[in-house]
Amino acid sequence: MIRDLLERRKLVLLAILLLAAMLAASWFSGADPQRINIVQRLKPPSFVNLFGTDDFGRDVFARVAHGARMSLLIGLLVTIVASLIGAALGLLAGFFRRLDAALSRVLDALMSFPDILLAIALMAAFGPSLFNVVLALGLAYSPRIGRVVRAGTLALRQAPYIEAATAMGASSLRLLVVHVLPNVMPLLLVQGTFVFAFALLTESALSFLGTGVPPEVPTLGNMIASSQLYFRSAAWTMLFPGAAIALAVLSLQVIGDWLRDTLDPILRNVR
Amino acid sequence: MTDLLSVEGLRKEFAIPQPGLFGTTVRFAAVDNVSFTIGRGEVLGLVGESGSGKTTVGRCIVGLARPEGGRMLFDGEDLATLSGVARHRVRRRIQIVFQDPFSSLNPRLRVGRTVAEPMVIHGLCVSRTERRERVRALLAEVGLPPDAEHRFPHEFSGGQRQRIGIARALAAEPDLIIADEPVSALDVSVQAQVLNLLAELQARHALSILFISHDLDVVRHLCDRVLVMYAGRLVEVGPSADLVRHPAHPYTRALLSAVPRRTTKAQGGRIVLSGEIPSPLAPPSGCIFRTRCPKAVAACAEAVPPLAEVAAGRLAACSNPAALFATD
Repeated sequence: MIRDLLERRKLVLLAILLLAAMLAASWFSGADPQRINIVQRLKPPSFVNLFGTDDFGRDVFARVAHGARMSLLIGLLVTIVASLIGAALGLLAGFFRRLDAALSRVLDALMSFPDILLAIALMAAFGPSLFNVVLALGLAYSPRIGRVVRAGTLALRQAPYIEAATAMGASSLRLLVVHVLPNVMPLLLVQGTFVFAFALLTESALSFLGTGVPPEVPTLGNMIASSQLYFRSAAWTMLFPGAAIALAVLSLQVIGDWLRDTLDPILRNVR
Repeated sequence: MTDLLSVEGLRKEFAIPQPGLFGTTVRFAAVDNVSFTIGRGEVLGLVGESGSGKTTVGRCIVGLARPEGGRMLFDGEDLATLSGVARHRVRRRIQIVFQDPFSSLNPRLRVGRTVAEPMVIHGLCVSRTERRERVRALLAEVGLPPDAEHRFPHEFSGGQRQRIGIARALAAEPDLIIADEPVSALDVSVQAQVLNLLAELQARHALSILFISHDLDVVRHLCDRVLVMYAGRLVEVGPSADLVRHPAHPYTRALLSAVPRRTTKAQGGRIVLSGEIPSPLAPPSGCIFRTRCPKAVAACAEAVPPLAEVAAGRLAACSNPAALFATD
């Protein structure tokens, strides 16, 4: 049974199902994640409150469900922002050798900060809001995408079909958009999945440190932050959101690994 | 009427950076002092073994490599000094067909789009319906099924992919096609079909073709004249039938004797060259072939022999008169 489950494709399917369930759970959780019920505060898990209640008597299951959806949404937006910035920089650096040195140093400089430190610094500069979290993390993770896209572009530049188009007289823009981008897309997708996982984790850490999403928005990190005072007596207030983060990150990693092995023709050729 | 393309003293160097912080870059010439012309509607063969620089010559002409010396006049215009619009216009007229039919097609573009690309780039068929019609006509012309335009390159065999590459080159309505070993990656049974197609298209469109190959048999079948290259230099030039029957230069004879024949009798004596192409970083003095030449004499080491007329219509670069047309 366990061995069956550990088979690659089944694991990937399970991961996809888990993420889908996390996204969908908020619609089926029934309870209102914000409804305060002081009488029922810090109740252990029961049939009424599946994951127990928190210090305001709010249903932890409903909060985990909504928090997971919000965290996944933020992770996805961060991935999109990081991909846009990273892909643009990576394509330019890989394709135009003259820009390469300058752009690569910019990417290196961004990479040399620990993600979370960079994100905290940017958040401090921008001020706390959902939009700023996405922007800060997107910037912090853009080099991870940028470097992979640059490497792929460098490898592709020599490909005969790129040379064919060059000899034909295709413009640089055309070469990049029609010939290079579609062929580095698999790389971008793979790296994007890993950035998604990291972004989710870092966003939770930011919220936990109080520099992330404003506390009124239910995210998994905010939930853990607010459970700090009670978790010795009411472990469920921290356990369930923590487990949700771990499962989400694990699922994304499993999917990312699988994607990398399935659709990475460029790197396969380079090696 | 002038020649379509005239190449004079072409020189292309490559740089090899030496390892280490203070290592200097060593330069060597992959193509050295190569001159030839291609007439309108002429098929010119360019033969030589791997590493002789024949592909580099082709890449210089289509603009994928920038030569360090010499001139390339295309229809009277110097390719090196063209800029902007003029350069773009010339790029349409010179097309290239690559050796590897697998990597020369973008795997993520449908065949129809690949073939239509030169038209889009050069604004040849402006309306979409016009372009589609032209793509269909081109695919039919190179002998591909009509539904090919909606399919991806990986669905085709090597021979079919090479036909796609040829259709793409034709789409630009070129005057000159550089065919860089277009059949050497194909099965022998398919080679003939693709060669016949090229010959057919050449006749129909009055194309000039620079046919780069290492296979003298193929070249004789297709070309009017042949250039023989060795280690970046031209060693012999002549009409293909005559050159194959009576090779002048010792290197050409060695190359010809390496062509497999059906019978052992026809095979004749095989000239086996000892050693390898000399390192381009340290070329021998004088004639570059002398280190492997069975007919080398003392004079060979003194000066680089110029390409000189050795018989009517025949040019060869050899310092030893006794070696010319020798029957070994």
